[in-house]
Amino acid sequence: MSDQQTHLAMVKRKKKRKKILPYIMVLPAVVAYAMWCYYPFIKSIILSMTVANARGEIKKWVWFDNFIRLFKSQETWFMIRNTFEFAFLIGVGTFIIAMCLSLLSVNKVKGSRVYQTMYAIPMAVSSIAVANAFKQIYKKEGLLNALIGGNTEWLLNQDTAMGAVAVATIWCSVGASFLFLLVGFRNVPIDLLESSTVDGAGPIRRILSILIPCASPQIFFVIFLNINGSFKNFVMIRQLTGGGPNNATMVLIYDVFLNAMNLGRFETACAEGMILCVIIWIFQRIQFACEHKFVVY
Amino acid sequence: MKKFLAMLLALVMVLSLVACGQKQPSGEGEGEGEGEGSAVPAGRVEVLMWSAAGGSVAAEIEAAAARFNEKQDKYWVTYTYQGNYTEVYTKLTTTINEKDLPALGIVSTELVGTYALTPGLIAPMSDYCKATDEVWAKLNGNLKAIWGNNGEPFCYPYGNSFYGSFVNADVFAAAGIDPYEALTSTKGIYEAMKKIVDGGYCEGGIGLDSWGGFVWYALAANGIMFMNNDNGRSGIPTEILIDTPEVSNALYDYMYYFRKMQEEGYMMTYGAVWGDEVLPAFGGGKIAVATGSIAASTRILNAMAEAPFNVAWVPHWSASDLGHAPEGYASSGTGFCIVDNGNEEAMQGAYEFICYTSEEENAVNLSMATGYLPLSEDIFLSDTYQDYVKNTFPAAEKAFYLQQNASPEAKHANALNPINNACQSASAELWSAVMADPTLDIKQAILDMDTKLQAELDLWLTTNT
Amino acid sequence: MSSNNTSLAVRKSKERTKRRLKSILSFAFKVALGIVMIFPIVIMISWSIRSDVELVKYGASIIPHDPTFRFYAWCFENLNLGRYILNSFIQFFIVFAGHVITASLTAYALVFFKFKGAGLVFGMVILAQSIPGDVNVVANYITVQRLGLVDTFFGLTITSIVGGMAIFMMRQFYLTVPRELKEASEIDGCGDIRFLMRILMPISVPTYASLCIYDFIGVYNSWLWPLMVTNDDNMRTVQIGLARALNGDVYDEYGLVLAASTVAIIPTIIVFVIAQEYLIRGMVSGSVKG
Repeated sequence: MSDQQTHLAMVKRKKKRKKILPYIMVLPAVVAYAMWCYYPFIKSIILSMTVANARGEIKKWVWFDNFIRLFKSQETWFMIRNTFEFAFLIGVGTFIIAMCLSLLSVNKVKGSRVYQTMYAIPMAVSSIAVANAFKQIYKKEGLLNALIGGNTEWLLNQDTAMGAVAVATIWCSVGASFLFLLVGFRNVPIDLLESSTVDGAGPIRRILSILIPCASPQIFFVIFLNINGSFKNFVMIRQLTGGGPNNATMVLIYDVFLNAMNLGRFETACAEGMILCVIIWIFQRIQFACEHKFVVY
Repeated sequence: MKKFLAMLLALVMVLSLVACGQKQPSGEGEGEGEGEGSAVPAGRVEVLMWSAAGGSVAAEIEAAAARFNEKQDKYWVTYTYQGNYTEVYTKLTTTINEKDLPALGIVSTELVGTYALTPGLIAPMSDYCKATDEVWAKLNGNLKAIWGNNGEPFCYPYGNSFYGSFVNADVFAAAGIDPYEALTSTKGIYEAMKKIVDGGYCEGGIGLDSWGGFVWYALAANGIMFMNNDNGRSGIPTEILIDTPEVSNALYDYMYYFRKMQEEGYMMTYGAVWGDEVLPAFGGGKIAVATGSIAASTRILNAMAEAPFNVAWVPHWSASDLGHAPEGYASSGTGFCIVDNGNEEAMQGAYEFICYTSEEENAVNLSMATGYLPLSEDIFLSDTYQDYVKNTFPAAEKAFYLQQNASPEAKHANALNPINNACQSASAELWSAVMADPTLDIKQAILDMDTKLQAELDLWLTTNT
Repeated sequence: MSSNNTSLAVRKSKERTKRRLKSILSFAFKVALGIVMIFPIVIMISWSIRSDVELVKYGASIIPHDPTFRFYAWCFENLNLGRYILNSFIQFFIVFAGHVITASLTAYALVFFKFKGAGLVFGMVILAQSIPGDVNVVANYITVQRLGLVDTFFGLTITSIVGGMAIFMMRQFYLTVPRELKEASEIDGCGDIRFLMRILMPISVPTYASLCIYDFIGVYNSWLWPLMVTNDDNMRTVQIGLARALNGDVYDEYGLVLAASTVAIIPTIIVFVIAQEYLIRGMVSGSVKG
């Protein structure tokens, strides 16, 4: 009897331990998020409804006045439109180029290491450093004009500035996406590929029916990475155009940065940050809703 | 392969745990600059300096700090770089532990107003010296205007910078134009460029340094005020005066003529990178005028080393042709300030270092390293500097005497402007919009700028009063 | 019969040369693309040995006519580059180790255990990804100051020790691990933690390699947080260290900026070129299903 009781007690203890184990395991992450992410985030939400000084101390409650002020101004809508345009350009651009490059490099042939490294190297270069090189390419007497002729000041022209900055940003982000996609594709079992070739499948068919579905978790991750990053990337904007000729390259995240760091206007920065947060969150929700449909685990 | 990676991973984790517990000790490092990072010797009071200067200017300040450290044995000045001027300001306002604050800071003229109106940030120099003391009294009038607060010493410059334009004197002589007469207003620049380019004396007209602050300097040169606190000389501003006819007409002239110059081909595209495009064009004789601060003289002289020509330097133009402000040209540039970090001894040491830099030997070196004009006439007349003037940059002489008689009443563009960063970005935006969009209604854009800046000022007043 | 054989041989060799030609062309094409990709880096290096006089005389050209190395000399004399690069690497190691530990634990809990709040935790992680970081910088800086962690490696890395991307990456990977593996180990008497450490983590090494790359870019490129949190030059990381040459004076020469940038990227490129092949090999697991 007592043996059975002790055994039952032990099982109960084990079950209890098992129950609280996951909570313990996520504890560090939860604490860290609470401290470094959510506490400032809640502070920002509060700040966005006040007028505050440079240290973030609240001077006056204005409720939604900051948002009203932002939405009333023509500039804000222009910025939001720019944000979408820019995010689309670099998100889609990076993804497509990375896809093409990784599909080109899937086969491990002799010498593939050479061009593989070349495609991934932009990742190792800091964007601030290479921005100056891009300035040399884009200026009026620069290398791009030397190549294709013409006299355009790529970064100073309202029509071309956003595209030019987008290309520079894509260049910086392709490396990482390329590498992740390459890994995803190389993980596809070789026998599957070989058997499909024997069955007479052409390269396009192989890509569509085998490579992409098998690597879909990785692809999903890369898309997530790109959506996330493309709304928050402003390094090239800061270095190349500083908001652009006549605000042509002014995006929300850059204005958040300017308001917070240059102008000391934290309430405006937080209000704009909120707007941006909502936009990104909507896109992420859409993407996760699609996860079940497209991703094969 | 996997085992190798797994071992590497374990090694990384162990290393990082070890590193986490350590702080890099100061005083180590290979190939570092003088003074930076050296350990403070025992018994000395550390005067920590937060600087935004970079490049050769930083090297010169560090050299002065090293000489100061050797010369006396009470203080030790430690130089550290903390980002650009705006980032230094942000760090200063968001640091809450007094022991992390420096005693000595570097500030630019554009931010003096912001610093003056941020309570508790700076200890004014008037706490340490009187306006009649030699260290302050010897400064040129317009330096006292910008670096003082309500007539009392506030911060201290390490040179007298001066905005204006570099001019190809040979081209102007050939065209029969006196640059000092012609380039005094935006309209005057337009007419001079038209004459030079149309007459075939030079390929291109003018190349700009497209910095937003020039707009305010141009207004100041006319003696026009855009803030209702006497442009910073009496108390706190409450109203932006850009919508008044005087200011808006002057601004209109400014924008109108620049747009005209670009449309008619007398100007390099607005926004061109100064170092990359304007400078080579000027050095190669392709444009006749390149705007820039006198600090750029070294670079300009280097650029034209292969095919030198006579270079003159003309002070900043005024926005309209109403004539120049009677009080003389506004100064600009960068200087030191004493940060209030609660440590009395360190702050005293900061003050003494500042006085040291104004002594002849250091002031001359700083002037030559930065390209700024000397602080006062006796420094100008010293042998080393005269040598530099005669052999390297003769135009410095005329430039020096042009602004030497500026009075302390000079209505500087940025003396006490708490929203300076907003003003500069607004003016840069306006200028950029006018240049990029030929159909833009300039008058309306100017009024919009007034509304925007007024809103910024109101926000600032709510926050800080 | 023999004629048939020879014609077959001829056909085969023709096919072989066609294939070889195709593969050479394809290789050349891919390398050409690669050269386009590294072009900006080539420009960076080329411009860093160029003086102002050069620009005036010759305008833009890929190879400078009168190269000068004085900018590099200035950098080595005046910038503490060795220390900055070392600090960046240390920062990377700490962040990476933190990610490996916390992300593995969190993703393990989320994927292999059913507990109330799992959805909440994951939602929290994903939501955090949509928050732009710049808004939080000042608030975090004030917190770090209160904790007295200014100018320490801990302060430098503490805000990024738990990474949303890392958790997400590990979760993606764990979702591909069959449940039977865990069940089988439980039958064998393996505890939960044991399973994580003995079985799950070793097979996650490929994902750790991916995480390594992602973290490296993030840490190496970071500049705003290191600028705020470090005051002492000896604690600075690469981007901030460079900023002194980059921001200095608008009137300093361009070559200086580019020389400083080039010096900063050279160690990473070397490390990258060497490590990249190992990383990719490591990331390809080879036995996924079954």
